[in-house]
Amino acid sequence: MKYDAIVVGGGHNGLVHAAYLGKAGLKVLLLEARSVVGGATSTEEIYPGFKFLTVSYLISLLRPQVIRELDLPSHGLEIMPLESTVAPIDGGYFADWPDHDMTRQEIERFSPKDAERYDEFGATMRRLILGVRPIMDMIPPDPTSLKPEDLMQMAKVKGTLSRMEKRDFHMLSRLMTMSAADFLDEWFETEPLKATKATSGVIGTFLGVRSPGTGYVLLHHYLGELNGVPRSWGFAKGGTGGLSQAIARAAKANGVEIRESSPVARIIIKDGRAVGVATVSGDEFTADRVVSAAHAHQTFLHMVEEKELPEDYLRDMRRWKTRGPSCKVNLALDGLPDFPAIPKDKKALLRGSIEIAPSLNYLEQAYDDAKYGGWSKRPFMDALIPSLLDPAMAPPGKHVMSLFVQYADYDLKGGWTDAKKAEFLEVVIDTLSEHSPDLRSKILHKHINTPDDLEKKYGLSGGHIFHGELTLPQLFFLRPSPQWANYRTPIENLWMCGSSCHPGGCITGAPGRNAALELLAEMKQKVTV
Amino acid sequence: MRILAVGSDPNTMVASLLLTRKGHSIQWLCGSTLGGITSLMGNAPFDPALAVELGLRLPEKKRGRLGISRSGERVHLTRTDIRGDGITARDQERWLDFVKLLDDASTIWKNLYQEPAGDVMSTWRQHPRGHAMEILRLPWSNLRDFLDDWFESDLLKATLAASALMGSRQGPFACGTVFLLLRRWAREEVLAASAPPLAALRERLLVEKVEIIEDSVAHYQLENGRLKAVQTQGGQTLEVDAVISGEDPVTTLTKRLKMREISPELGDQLVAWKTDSTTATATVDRSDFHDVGVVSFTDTVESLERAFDPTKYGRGSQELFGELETEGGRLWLQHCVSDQAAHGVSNFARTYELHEPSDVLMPADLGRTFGLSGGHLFGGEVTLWQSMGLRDVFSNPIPGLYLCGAGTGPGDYSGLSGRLCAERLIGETQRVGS
Repeated sequence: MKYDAIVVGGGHNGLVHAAYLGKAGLKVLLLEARSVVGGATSTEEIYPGFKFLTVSYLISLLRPQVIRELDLPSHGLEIMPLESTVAPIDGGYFADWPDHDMTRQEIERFSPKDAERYDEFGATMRRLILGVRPIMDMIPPDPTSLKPEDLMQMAKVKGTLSRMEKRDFHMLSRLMTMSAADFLDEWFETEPLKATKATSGVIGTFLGVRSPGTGYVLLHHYLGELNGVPRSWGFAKGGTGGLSQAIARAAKANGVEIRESSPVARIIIKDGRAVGVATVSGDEFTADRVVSAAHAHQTFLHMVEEKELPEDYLRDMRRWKTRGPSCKVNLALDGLPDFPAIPKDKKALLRGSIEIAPSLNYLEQAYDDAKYGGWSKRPFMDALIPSLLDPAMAPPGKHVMSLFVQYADYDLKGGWTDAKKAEFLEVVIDTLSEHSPDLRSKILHKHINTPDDLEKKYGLSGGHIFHGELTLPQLFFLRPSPQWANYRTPIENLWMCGSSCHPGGCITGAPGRNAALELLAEMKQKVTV
Repeated sequence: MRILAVGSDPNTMVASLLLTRKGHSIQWLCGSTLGGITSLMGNAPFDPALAVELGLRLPEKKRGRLGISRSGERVHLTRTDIRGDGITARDQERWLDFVKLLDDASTIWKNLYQEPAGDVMSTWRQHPRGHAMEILRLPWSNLRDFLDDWFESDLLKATLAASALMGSRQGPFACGTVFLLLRRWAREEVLAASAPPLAALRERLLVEKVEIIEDSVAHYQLENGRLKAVQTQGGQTLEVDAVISGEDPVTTLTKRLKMREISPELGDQLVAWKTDSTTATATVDRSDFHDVGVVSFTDTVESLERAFDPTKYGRGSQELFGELETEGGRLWLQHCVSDQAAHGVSNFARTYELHEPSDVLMPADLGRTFGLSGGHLFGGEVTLWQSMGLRDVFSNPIPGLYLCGAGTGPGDYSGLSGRLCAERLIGETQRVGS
């Protein structure tokens, strides 16, 4: 049987892509290596009765078009807005809410000057986001090309940016190249305010808050919106796995055939054209086109033979920067841990993010400890207690805790042995225990995914959660390779739709959707011709 | 128009020269040391095309860079060849391609200051697509990854990275650090050294009958928001139509003007402007190195990042790296903080088996001696976010005052920011005239 399209990899982008193609009436097969779809957007019951968020944990950048066009709510997607972020600090706490005025009041406790600046900061960031966000949904052009479609896209980009005020454009140019810390230093004096904001600049990125380049990553994390509320974050019922299950249901409803436990060994190429795939177990499937949602390294360094690729493309794939610094820890807890820094009447703050990021220097030191092949002696963490938001995540009276942890080098000196893994897990728990002394006594089970695990279990090469660094030489028309940023590849009928493509990672669904729209447009054009 | 020129760095002298040629009369507050900070510099090349335009003869360049590691390994770099410890056949094979990439990117970078943007774009588009893209991604990349993609030899990579990072407060792991290499490459400072043509420029100005006033500026006087007169340190009041100044933006806006005299927007930009320098200098015996222009003392790219680390927390570095100009024997050291005792410098000299350096000037000393805010050699860090359009913000802070130093334009002493300043002033007078 021949398919119109085979999608390799059932992470959220692969699922989104397949669902769009299915919706357009194509006969689509999606092959997923693991026993459940979702990839890095999975919820897994690692310890009986406790649902762990093994990689991703929150949602914000998911394009509203994806939710709407695939009608995800009717397929079971339910996103609860995250109510707050709280950072325990020396002798107290600092809290941040999606509601501007509440946060402003909080900042007032620390610095009236900052509270005033916060209004202008919020307004400025909103304008920058509005200026940049349309680019997320664009097909990146080739700027060296004089083809009409590329020139048109270039003009569109230029048009979007030229609508910005000159002052905002200056601000954007600076933010794109400078460090998150320098940028925030210009605005504020309150250390925990700057630190909690700066974490957005280093999530998933192997740079420190003081490294130029993190300004863009900060902006990237601001591009999200939830139910029309800009830069707010949410928790999907059932965890991020709940999201991928909803997309999978939408895909199936659109006629997509999904096969789990079917790792693809190679993409079959005949005369320079992709014609199908072969699975590890030896099955072969043929199709008019193959779309890989997998990491660029998985696709081009493992599933495609070198001889099929032009030299410059192969070089771009090999030098793709994808060394990850992030770990994911999950704890099964016998009860709710206490954070004494948070007063009794403020315990609702535990329903939000708990950030272990007391100061910019703390964050920078965490980076410095890890960047030469090590790990942070006191890591930065973004903790969440999902069972407070969705009781079904843990047995009654019990809780789960999800910890996003940085930094630990994928290229750890001596490699990631079991002993090293266990050792770092203790570092994480020790650090968190400084803020929650009774944490240890409540732990029933602990689990860590190191960058090495993220690569081995989820195909995130280099353990990079965004399928490659979100730095300027790897963005927009350079992602993953110039000339091939439009979701096509040098191999005819082989397409890409994962986070290695524009606009990158963080559960946007945008690469999956953009690639589908581009692919369908090309099919339509060919039919008309 | 009566124009007063403040300072005697090459940019100010270029701007003055171009303005006299347009018929303006120039009074020159030349300060105490000809060249200011550039009087120390043995490697601050003048723009060759501008030299032709002005009829200047530039001093002979001294070519080649040597890289020396802590354990005494050496690499020797010229435009046509690299050789030395650890250089592999593959490195040698790739060297000329690397030189071509940097040359082509340099042309584009320099054209940004000489041509309209449309011409720059079409020059860029003339390159084959792959090459054009390499040029495009270059400035945003980090030195570690960029050099790892090209070369194998540790000392070669470290020598190139160290030459990029001299004078900057950055580590090689951060994005945008290849830009630092590019800007030095474009001025031909990486593989050669040449001193600024200070005496020759001064001579030109004397020929043009510029009126020299041996005094320096104290502050500017405004009338209705426009510059009206200049008060000197010596107590003179000079009424002028315009001032061109080579002083850095922070000094100009905070010491020569009052904060209330500048726009709040400019005030914000000034607060954000990075000037704190960690560059120190000393002189050292250089008799061992007569056959190259510059010598880098460094180890690995990682050691350059380690050298930078403590400065982020306000501490001095234990692992300095440096660069020696063989012609004048001047050594530049990175990263020193001012309260760091001179023994850091002595340690450095011992590590690299140099004679004991003398005349050590820490960043604070440089700041005091030459009136440099933050002790910065270029009027403010020349990072991507303080370059191009973003470096122009201080070029005309109030009507009648034009900055022409390294704190504007490309951020160097090539004379180009002097020319940009003169062109701006001429353009404005023509607009007013018509």
